[in-house]
Amino acid sequence: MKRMNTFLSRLCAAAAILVISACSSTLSSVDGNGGNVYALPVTVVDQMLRDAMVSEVPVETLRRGSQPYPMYLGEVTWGSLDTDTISALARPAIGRKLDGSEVEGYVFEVSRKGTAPATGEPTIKRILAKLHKDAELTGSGAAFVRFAR
Amino acid sequence: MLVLEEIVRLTRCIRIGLSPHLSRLSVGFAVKMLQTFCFPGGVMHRFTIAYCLLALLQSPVVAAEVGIEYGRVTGVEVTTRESAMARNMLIGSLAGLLVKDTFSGALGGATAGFVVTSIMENDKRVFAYTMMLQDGRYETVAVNRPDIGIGHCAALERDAEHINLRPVSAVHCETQESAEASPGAEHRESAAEKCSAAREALTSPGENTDINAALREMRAYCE
Repeated sequence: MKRMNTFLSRLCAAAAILVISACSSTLSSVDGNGGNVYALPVTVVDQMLRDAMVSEVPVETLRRGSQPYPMYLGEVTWGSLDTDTISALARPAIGRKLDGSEVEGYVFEVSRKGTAPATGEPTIKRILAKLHKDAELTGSGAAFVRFAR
Repeated sequence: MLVLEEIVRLTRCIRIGLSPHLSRLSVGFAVKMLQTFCFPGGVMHRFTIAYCLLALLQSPVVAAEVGIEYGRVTGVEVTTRESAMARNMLIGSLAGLLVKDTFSGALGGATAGFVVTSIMENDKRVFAYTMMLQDGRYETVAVNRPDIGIGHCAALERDAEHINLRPVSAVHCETQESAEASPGAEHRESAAEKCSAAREALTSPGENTDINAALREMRAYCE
């Protein structure tokens, strides 16, 4: 009986650690199977990122990231204690157009980190979907070759 | 009484079965709900009958006439329930449930499945959509659905108690003048030209290009 109680208390402790510890995940517009680089000016990409974030993240938590490329960060909450930090960024990349020439552009990445995956996971999916939709509408996609720097 | 019970039970079952939000529930939970509402027993029985009567009274058949206005979304803002209330926004039924923290404000407008799911998700964001209606007025509506984008056409439905916002076909947002002036092909041509112009402005913007406006035009005319 004592061993059973010890086992149960350890199991509960492990579950509690799992619940309160932070985790993270990242979604990107490119993966191992390729994807699109969008040949757009930095100002346009920046506005797209901002629009996508503003439509999902409370604007008072929105701020620019510290990377040298367009990036925004914001917070979403689940309940009153759990928070996820959502970041959306555009990484410079090289793409190849249909005529074979290479173009400079951007690849979108959206990630979450924190203790509110129930809110964070669907949020980053929707943000990436919005970015992807906007970028596709511009008709500026080129096949991903490599990251620029 | 037995016949009446059967009718209200059937009504409840149909409403649950037709709920567009049922897909959000797990299969197990859906089965549990159907068991509760369609095959009640024991202590739950009386509660279910009362709930079914309430559902029947609030069913669309006896509901007040719903007014519908169409318009394009010109802005989206993520806000909180307190902020939406403080700024006197129109509050949608489901957001109304969150705002009031009571079932009374939203039960008629919301299906049981989505209410439960929303509570389980505990996501307290409210999405404030600013719409330009066809008569030129602007309305800001706070709802908890996040899937309507800037430039999209949406229907603002309201009756005496409830507000709802849902995306609809862009056809509903064409103004009467534009429909009369350029029906069919001409209108499509005009939209295609505006789409091309917006794309051009975005892929090679000049110094004075309004990127925000170009993005709005692209979303409205290129989809």
